[in-house]
Amino acid sequence: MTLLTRFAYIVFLFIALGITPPNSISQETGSQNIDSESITDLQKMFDFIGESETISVTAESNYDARQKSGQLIEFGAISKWYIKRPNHVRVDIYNRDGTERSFYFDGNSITLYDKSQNVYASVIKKGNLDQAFDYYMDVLDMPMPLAELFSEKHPFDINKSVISSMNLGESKINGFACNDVAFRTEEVDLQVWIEQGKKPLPQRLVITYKESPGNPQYRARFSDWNLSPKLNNSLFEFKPPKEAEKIQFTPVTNKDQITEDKNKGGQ
Amino acid sequence: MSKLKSTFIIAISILVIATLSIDYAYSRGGGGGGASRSSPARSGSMNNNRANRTSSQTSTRQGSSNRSQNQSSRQDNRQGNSGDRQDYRDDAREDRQDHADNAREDRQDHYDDNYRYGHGHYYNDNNEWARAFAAGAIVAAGTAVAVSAFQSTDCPSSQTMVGDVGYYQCGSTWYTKDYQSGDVVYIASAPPAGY
Repeated sequence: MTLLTRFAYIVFLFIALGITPPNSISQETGSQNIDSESITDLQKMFDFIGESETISVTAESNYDARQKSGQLIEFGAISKWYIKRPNHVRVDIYNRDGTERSFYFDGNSITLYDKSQNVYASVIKKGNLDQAFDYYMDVLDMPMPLAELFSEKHPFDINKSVISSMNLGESKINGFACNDVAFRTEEVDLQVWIEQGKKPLPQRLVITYKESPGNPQYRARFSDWNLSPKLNNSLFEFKPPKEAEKIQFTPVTNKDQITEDKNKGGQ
Repeated sequence: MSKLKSTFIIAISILVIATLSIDYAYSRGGGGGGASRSSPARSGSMNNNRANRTSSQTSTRQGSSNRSQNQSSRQDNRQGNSGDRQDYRDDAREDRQDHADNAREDRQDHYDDNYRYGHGHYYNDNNEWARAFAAGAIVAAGTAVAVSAFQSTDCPSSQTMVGDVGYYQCGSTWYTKDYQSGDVVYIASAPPAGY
């Protein structure tokens, strides 16, 4: 074998090795990436929250906003949730920039009050919590982080949408022993720390928007979970403060629909 | 000849300086405190359709019949029994497909609005609108203006009530104050009846 032939042989070997698919690729598409225990954990968590008649909890959350330069900037808020099924919810939101908002739903109407600007918008919407959340997010086009968590239905079809799930073992959050579980759907990655024991409540969650440039994340840490708070109905009724200005919800995309809905009483 | 040459050099220099100034002015844009809050992550949603909607607030695309239909298809009261869950699964899958199509379009529109045509019909806190306004630009109906940008001009802060709705007249354009995609904004609208 001449030196040249030997060299060519080595180069060929390198190329051949280089294009051999690593084992991990074939595994990624297989069902062996589904850990059924963590799937069950997630289902139990959603069901447990969905079946809790009254809830109060505080969430400290933040999210990344990608700037034109590519830099990710974090914004955050503390939100206090009060839920009384089937059709009462109030959320007080304290943004880091000092602005404050409150969301009200009493089974008849949805109101968002912006304390900082002393403005509020109100729409008639009859129904239960899920219907109010769907209407607010999908028709009024307003963001409402964590609403899906308190919904009676799952935010996505766990059995069909999850393409990968992992159990990362025990992890301590806020002093609670949690199961650290991670999931992938086609669109988002989700990691949740679910309290062990009889109350499978999330203590922390992270959502990664992997289809968006920069892979921005939404993160929330929960505290003061209470499943038997005393919640008076007056907590869910909005009384406009003096001089508060009434404004409208004007979604970018559904302007015609909202007008139509308003005429029908938002049902 | 040399006079022509120096005139040419001066002209080019002015052009370059002017271009740089414009770039500088535009590069200062952003939201409150200079940063944009627009992000799919702002939705906090585990459902990517909602996430994409929140990120595409600059889109000017009107009307989305698919979304409305999906919405009504999801209005059923689902109490969590297995039959309902199955329905929801089916709906959700259809929704996902429809939404995926919408989301893709939205993303493209968002791209077009932001990068091809400047900021489309959404003016953030960067005083871009104030500059356009000061320059006498025509403000198209539906244009959303951030509160801080609106307040940085000498437009009146008091509203004219017409029926149930408060209007603000600024120059020759009328605005309403609205919640849009999570923000309080002024939206250019048709003049109220009688004005």
